[in-house]
Amino acid sequence: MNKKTLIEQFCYLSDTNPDAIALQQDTTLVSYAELSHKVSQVSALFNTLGLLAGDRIALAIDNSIDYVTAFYAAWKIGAVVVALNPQAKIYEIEKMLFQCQASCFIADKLDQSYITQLAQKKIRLISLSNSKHEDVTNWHQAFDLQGDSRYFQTGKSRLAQIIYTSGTTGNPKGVSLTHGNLLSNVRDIISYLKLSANDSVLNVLPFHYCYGNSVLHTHLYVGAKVILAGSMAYPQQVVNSLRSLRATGFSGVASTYSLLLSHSDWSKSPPALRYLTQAGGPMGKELTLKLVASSHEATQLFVMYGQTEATARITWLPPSMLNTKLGSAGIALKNIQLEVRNKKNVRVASYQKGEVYIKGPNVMQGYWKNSTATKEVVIDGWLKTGDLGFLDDDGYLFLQGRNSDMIKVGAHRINPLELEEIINKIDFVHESAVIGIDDPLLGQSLCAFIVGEESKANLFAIKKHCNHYFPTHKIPKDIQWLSRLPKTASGKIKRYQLNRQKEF
Amino acid sequence: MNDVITSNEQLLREFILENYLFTDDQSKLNNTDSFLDTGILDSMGILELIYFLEEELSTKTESAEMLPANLDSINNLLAFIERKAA
Repeated sequence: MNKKTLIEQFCYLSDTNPDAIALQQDTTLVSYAELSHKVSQVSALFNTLGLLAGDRIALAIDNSIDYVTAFYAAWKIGAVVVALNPQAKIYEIEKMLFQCQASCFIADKLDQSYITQLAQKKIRLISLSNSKHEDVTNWHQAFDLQGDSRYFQTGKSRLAQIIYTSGTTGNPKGVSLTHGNLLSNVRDIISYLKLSANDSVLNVLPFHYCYGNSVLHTHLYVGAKVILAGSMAYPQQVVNSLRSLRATGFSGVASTYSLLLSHSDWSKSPPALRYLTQAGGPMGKELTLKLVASSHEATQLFVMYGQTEATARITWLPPSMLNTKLGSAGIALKNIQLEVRNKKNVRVASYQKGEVYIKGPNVMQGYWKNSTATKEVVIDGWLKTGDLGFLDDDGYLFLQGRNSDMIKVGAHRINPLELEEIINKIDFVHESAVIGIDDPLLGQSLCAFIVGEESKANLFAIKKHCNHYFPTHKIPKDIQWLSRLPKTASGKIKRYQLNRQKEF
Repeated sequence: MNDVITSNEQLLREFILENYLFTDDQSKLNNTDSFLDTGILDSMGILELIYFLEEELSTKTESAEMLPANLDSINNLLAFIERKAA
């Protein structure tokens, strides 16, 4: 069984399968050899900037050929990749850059307003859009360089990535994954999806989240093609591309498939795909059955479950069992042990509800420089997932919600406290509470209850204020005004009560 | 007394300005601005836009018509609405 780390395998494929296409973006095709050459040029650029193995290199780049190039170039020099949301505002980006002590930040564009303060922290800045600022290196300079074909010998225990994810308390935490973590999860996924160099996946998922991350790396590992398709803003275009580019696979979250079925001609003429994968939160039985019924007869749907702290994948539902075990998240991956435990940390019998714990080579090393938070979730090598559910007698997991106040809008985890902290800064706001309310498409959407002076101008001001700090998906859709927030005797906000209030 | 007729253009501009730019300030939106390029609308935004077209502007968007050429700017939208009305 192939034991090469992801970067070793990438270098190997560019020698043995140089002409195979690795990436496609619009009409641009990039072969493994061409991508490898670009990667070696960018790693040469990194060397000129004095970047070293172990350094954290942060990226805020939209899904693109450049994104993949930067990513693998960082691995080539043995650095740790920290891929951030390219839509995030500087408020959030700075927090993560400083928390992981990034040595380098590469962005689609860098705003004058913060370049100096980042440069003062000795962070090397690289811009994909041409910048005349003296503290900024232009990305395109890399492609005038001779490639550096050396690569840092990466062992499995070396840190490969930090993926920031929201929790219910405090700031986003940096999930630290080694090359070994990634390799074990990538191999398991390749095995059950039966991925090969003949595959080509059309990708609409953001690469900076663990699901999109695993789609990218699994396909590159087998020498397959990744078609970079942009977003689901125009579902019909996505379906047209699936057909015209003869993709063999597609990955989505529940809302992706909901959009496909309701706003494209998928059902009339489903593309002849070999596999569909679905993760990022439960899809619901009705939508799952509708998707299968309206797909091509050769297409298999793989329902899956996981989380960033588990690299990506924890369980998968074999397509042959989809009907029998409808509603299940599936069985644990080959190398993962899975248990459901009660609040006393004792394993429970089948059909008893509890919390999902897992152990395996995919479990993260911990949260970057946050041993307190790590100790709360990684206990004796077991990962406490925060997900609730039960196992049936055949070992199939059925999930039933989460153990926390965390909100999930589409595939985005949102900590309400982070939003409240920012909203409370507004002068006319006395207090606020943000909750998730049921949304048919997204699972949940954000509703903010405000104690403050109600007016249309103030409503705009709240949204604009959030827009300054956060990306679009974190701006509350709905704003409700209250004279006071319902609280417990100890002063904690009664969120469940707000939720019920919203129903009326 | 003159009745004020709100044009399609005014209704569309108001919809985008209020819901996605959080402002009344007309100068913040050009009729030629690409919603995709400027990030004003994401996939949820496009859905809300087509519901708005149907509810307020009596224009139903078929799946096959959900394309940037029809939806990606105020000008594209106005041309699309006119074509559909004809």
